[in-house]
Amino acid sequence: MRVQEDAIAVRDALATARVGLVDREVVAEVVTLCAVAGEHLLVIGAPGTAKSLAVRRIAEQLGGRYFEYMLGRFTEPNEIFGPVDLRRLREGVVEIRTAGMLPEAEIAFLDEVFLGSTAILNTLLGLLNERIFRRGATVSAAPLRVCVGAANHVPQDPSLAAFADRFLARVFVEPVADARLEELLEEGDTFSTPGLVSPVSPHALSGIDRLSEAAQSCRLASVRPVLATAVRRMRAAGVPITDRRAVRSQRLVAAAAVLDGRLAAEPGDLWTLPLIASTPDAQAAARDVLADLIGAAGSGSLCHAAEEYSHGSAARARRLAENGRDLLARFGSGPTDGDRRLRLEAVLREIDAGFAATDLGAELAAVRDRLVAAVQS
Amino acid sequence: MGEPGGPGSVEPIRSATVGRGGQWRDGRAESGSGGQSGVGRVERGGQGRDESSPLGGREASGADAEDEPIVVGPAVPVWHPRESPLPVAAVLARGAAVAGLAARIVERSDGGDPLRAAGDHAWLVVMGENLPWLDAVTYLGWDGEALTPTTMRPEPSAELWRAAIGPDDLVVLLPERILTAPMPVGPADRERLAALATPPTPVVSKVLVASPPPPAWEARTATPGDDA
Repeated sequence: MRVQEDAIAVRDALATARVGLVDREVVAEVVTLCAVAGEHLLVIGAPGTAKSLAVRRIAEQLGGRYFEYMLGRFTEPNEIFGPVDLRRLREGVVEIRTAGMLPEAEIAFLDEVFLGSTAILNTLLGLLNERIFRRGATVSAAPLRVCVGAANHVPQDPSLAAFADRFLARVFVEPVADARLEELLEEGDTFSTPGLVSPVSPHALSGIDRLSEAAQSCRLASVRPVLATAVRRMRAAGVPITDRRAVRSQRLVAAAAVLDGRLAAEPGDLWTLPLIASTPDAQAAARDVLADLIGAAGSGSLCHAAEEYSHGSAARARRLAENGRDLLARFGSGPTDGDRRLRLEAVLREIDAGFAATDLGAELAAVRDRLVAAVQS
Repeated sequence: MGEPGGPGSVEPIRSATVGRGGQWRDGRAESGSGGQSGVGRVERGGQGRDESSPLGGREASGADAEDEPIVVGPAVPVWHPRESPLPVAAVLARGAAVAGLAARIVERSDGGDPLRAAGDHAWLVVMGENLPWLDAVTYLGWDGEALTPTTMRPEPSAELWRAAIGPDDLVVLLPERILTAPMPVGPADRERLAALATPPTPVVSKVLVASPPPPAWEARTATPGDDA
C-alpha cells in the first residue's frame, strides 16, 4: 500500500535527521506531523536550545525549498518576502520579487516570530491561513507545507496571541536532560554543521504530499466520539480549546494515522491532542486527563512524539525499539568501543528500567537481545 | 575505611523479608492483627516463619541472616506495574550479579559523578547518575523517601512502608525483601567495592562487615498493621 511505503520513507528520513540530534527528536517529528497535516508549529524555548538545528535537520531530509530567518523589531518586510521589483515600480506597479524568499518556500523557520512588525505579521497571516501571498500587486499561491515559528516564550499581548493561534501545534523545548549531557557534548559539536548528513531520499517531500492527500481522506468517523470526549475532558480540566482548534485537531489525528501507515484513525492517534494546548502546564494537564484514551498510543514514524504526548508504555516500547535499531544500524556489527558501548548500554538501561522482563513484548525483546549481544561482543 | 554514613564507605545493608502475620517485629512488641488498612510499626527480630507465604519463609541473604530470624505477618504487600516508570536513581544487584556491578563501579570510579553504594556480597545498591547497565540487575527509583523498582508500585504505598520502617536512612522496598542501611553520603570506597568484585567466600562477608562494625545484613519481617 502506498501510504505504508510513504510512511516508511518518512520514518527513514526522520531516523537520518535524528543522527546527532540530542533530545530534539520530538521537534523534528512534530514538524513532519504538521507538514502532513498542513498545519503550522510554534516551538517555544530558551535561546540556545537547538530549535533551529532540529528544524533545519528535518528540512534537509524532507528536501524542497527551505527558508529560515530571524526576525527583529527592525526587520523590513522585504527581508522576508522579497524586495520590490524596481523595474515594475517605474511602471507604477508595486510588485515583489519573491524568488528564494518566504513566499516560495516549502518549509520555513521563522525565529523570534513575534518580534515581526505589524506589516510582516499581517502578510504572514494570509500566508499561513490561506497559503496565498498578497503584497501590493503581487498575489501568488504559496507552496508552503509547514511554517515553524520559534520564540522564547508565549506572547501575552492579546493581538499577538491571535497571531499565535494560527500555529495549531506547540512544542515546548527544555535544555537537554542531564542524563543525555555526555551524548550532547559528544555529538552536538560534530553534527551541528548543516548538510553533514545527506538526505536518504531526494523525493521525501513528494512522499509528504502524498501522505497529506491521504490524510484528507483518512477515515475519522470511528474516533470522533472519542475525540469529542477528549476535548470535553480537556476543557473541563481548564485547557482552553477554541472551536476552531478542536476542529483542526482532526488534521493532526489524521496525519498521525497516515504516518503510521493507516487510512483510518484509531483512538491511539489522539496522542496528538496535547499538542494543541497552549502552555506546558496545559499540555501536561491534557496528557493526564487523556491518559486512559491515549495510553495505548504508538507511532512507527513519530515514536518520540507519541511517547512524549501520551506517556504510554506502548509508545515508549516503540521508541526504545526504534532507538535500539538506529544505534545497531549506525554502529554495525563491529566491536563496540568505549563510547559505542556506553550508548548501547544507555538504551539497554532505559529498556530494563522501563519494562519488567515479562512486559517487553516481542519487538522490544528482540531488539534488547541484539543490543545485549552487541555490548557483549 | 569510612564510618557508616560517612564518605568513602560502602554501607552495610540489612535485609528484611516481607511476610504474613503481625506487625513488623523487633522481638519486643506484640503481634498485630493488621494488614487491613496500612503499614504497621517496624519491629525487629521476632520469631518463626510462615512457610505458606510465597515471600515469607526465606532466609535473609547476607552474612548475618541467621542472627535475625524471619518473622512472618498477616499480609503480603501487593505490587502493581507502573504506567510511567520512575526516573532511575539507583541500581540493585543480587547474589551473583553483585560482583559484576561492583567491578563496573570500580572500573569507572575515576571519572564522572561519584557513585554511592551500600551492600555486601548478597546485595549491592549503587546510587548516583549515569549508572552502568548489566544484565540481571534491577533499577530503582525514588517513590517518596523509599527506593522501589522503577517499574513497580507497592501497595500499601511506599510512603506508609517508609514511615513504618522507622529511622533507617536508606530503605529499598522489593517484592521479596526490604533492605535498609544508613544513607551513604560519600563516594563508594574503591577497596571495598574491589573486594565485592571478587566471588564471595563464606568468610568474605564477615570481613566486609568487620569495619565498620556490624550490623551487616539484618533480617526483618514487614507486614501491614493498623497503626501506621
